[in-house]
Amino acid sequence: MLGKKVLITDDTAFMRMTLRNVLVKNGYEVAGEAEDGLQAIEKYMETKPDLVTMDITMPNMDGLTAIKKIIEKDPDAKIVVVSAMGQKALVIEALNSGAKDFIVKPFQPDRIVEALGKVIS
Amino acid sequence: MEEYKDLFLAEAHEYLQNMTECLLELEKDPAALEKLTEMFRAAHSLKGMSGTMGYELIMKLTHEMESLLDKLRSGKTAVNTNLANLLFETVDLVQLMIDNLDKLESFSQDVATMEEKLRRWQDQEAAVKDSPPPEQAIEAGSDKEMFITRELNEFEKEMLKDAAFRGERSYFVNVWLREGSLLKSVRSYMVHKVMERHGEVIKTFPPQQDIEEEKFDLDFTILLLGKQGLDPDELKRNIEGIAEIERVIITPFDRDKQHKVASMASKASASGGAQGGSGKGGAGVARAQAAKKTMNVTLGRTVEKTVRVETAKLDALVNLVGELIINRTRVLELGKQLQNEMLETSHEQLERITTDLQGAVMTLRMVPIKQVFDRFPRMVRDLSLDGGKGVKLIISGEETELDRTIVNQIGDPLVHLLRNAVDHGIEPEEERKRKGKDPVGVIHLEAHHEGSHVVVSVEDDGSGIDPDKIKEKAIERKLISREEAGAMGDDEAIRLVLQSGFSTSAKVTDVSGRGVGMDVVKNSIEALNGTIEIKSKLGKGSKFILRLPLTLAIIRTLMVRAGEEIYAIPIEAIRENLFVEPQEIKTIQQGRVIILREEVLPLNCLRESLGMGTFKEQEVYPVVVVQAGDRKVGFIVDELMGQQEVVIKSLSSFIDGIRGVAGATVLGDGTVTLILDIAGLLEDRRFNVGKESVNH
Repeated sequence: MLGKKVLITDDTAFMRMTLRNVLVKNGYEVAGEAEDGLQAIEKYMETKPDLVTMDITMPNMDGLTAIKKIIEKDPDAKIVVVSAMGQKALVIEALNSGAKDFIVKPFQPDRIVEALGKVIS
Repeated sequence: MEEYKDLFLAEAHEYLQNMTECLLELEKDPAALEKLTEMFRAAHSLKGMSGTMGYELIMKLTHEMESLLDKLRSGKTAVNTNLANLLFETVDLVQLMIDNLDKLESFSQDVATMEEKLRRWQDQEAAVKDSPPPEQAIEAGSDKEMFITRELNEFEKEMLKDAAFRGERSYFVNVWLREGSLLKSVRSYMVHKVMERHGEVIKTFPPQQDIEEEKFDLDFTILLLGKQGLDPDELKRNIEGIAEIERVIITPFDRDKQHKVASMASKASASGGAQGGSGKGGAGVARAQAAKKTMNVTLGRTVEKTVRVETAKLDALVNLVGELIINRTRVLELGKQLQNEMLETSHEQLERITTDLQGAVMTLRMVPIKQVFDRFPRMVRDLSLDGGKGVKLIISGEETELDRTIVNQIGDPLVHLLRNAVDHGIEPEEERKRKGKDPVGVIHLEAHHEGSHVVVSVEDDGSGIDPDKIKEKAIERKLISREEAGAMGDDEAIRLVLQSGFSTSAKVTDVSGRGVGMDVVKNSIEALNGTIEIKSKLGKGSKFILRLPLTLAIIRTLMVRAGEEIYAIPIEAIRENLFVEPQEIKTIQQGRVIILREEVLPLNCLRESLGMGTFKEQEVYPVVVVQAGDRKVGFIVDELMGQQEVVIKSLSSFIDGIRGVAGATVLGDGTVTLILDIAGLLEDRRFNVGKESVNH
């Protein structure tokens, strides 16, 4: 895990902070933070992270579209969806679009670490 | 002592009944220690009672039973099927002896054998007592595995057998999610996707639909038919690679089966070959499973309640009954000519018996339509995901039984109708919301009996069929002229989708892209002597109603003469027979009609329709009123000749597929007669039938 770079995508500063804390505490490096899909694509190309966490509902461009666009540019991109409860259909669509796994908000830190760890190995 | 015999009998029966009940409970819940204790007490009491009465053999047997139960009570071995079988056998033997107290001595050999078996279990029990139970983890999933094994239908069993033959192995994959997992259905969906990379999912427990609706706790079990060379370890790693998967245990399906067969076989040979040996591998498996099923479903006492018979043998039996019925008819006719009263009486008897025989044989061929319906929840789920639509499939009447051959052939048409319903019937979510409908579309798949028919319907609450659009398309495809379209009612217009060369899909999906049209559905239903009816309300949804005969082999017909020829019309298509006088016949648009109970009924001359002659003036016309779907037409025939049971013989492929002809049959006097296919006759424009039926 050590030194793996993660791009955090979420439109709420609180979620970004929470994720950042958990990741740093567990030996990850945060490559950057994106507030919407557009920024995520931009920062992905810029920083080429090992992993992306992707919120679904965001302004400007939603997570689903962003996943599709990133996978289009880099089919090997490792994206983990961070969804809210009740977004079943959206999560399935995200998985079918190339996301590797998902976690559900509100989450426990160890679940995130586990999910990211599984995706990266 | 004799005066106590009645009391002994009454009490012994009570104890035996009690033991049976306990055993059944124990099988369901092997941990129910109090039931073991209860059984132990019952065995103990029986021992004492029979000893007092001087029934030494019963005493010896119940003693062994008591000892075993006592060891089990303190031991670690749970009561499994094998052990339960043995105990049931013992109870049965005790029962048998009590029922035959006057010849007890004849049971000495049986008792010795049974004692030996009971003792062997006791030794085993002593041996395992101190060692931990092997593969405890697998035991945890085995209930579900057993359930899946039990629920496999013939088709799936065949599939697994074939696959095993090709060297493709099957596995039970037991998956546990982490405590507190959210969106469990999506988790299981991920597992499913991994599975599909490695093979084909045959069945799950809980059933697929329940998993999707998150009606499970944390674990589920999947029976996977692996691709050639599947590496279970790799599969395990891949599933464990998904987040929030706690544990994965994979057990080979084959080994499981072999294990069961082995234990069944050893039991059979141990009990002196009472079950006739295990036979070939496949048959043994089937028997083991059938036996197991009976064990668990019924009271577990009669292991062999069902016998498995090759379908070829059943077919041969049906054919023979068919021949018998043809010959019965022949003999009946000869009898009539002889006018011998005694002969006629025995003929009547013969007729009754053969009819009963026919009925009995036909029920042998009946299987529940569940076999076909079972694969649809999964299919609809996949289709709805692919199409990005929310669709719920509601199935009812899956226990409805019909002829095996029909069950085998109804699958494809139903797949097609369901796919159509998802692809073209149910609207995209946005559109549904706009229309104020529930965003999740509903498809009802239903089956029920109706007289000698089975009705299967597929109903969606989607957009419905627009008759005007259909007409436009049909004109475009040159299926009808603009004039014809103008005169056409909505119902008839909708039926145009069934014509070949017509496809309503504006969007090409995986399915529709293959160029399979509704005409294929219609043709396959008609090939089964069935009819298809469409009810559609624009904006509200469509319903496709398939009406199928219960059986294909033997049907009741009305024999009619038209010109020189005799034809058989299936009774199911006939609504009534009339005698019409010339002055009742009116002419509308060059077609003959009569007014029947304030309804306009188009009248056709059968001879003319079949191209076997022309309409002739007569004093009175016998008319057969037939109906196919919602279309009703009267056929003028030359003579009504009475009802007859006929065996359908298909025409050779050389002349097969003639519209309007369902097959042929051999009459009592040996002549061959054509059986008319009324639906085909009414449909085919060449026959020029019922063109006035536009707005009846």
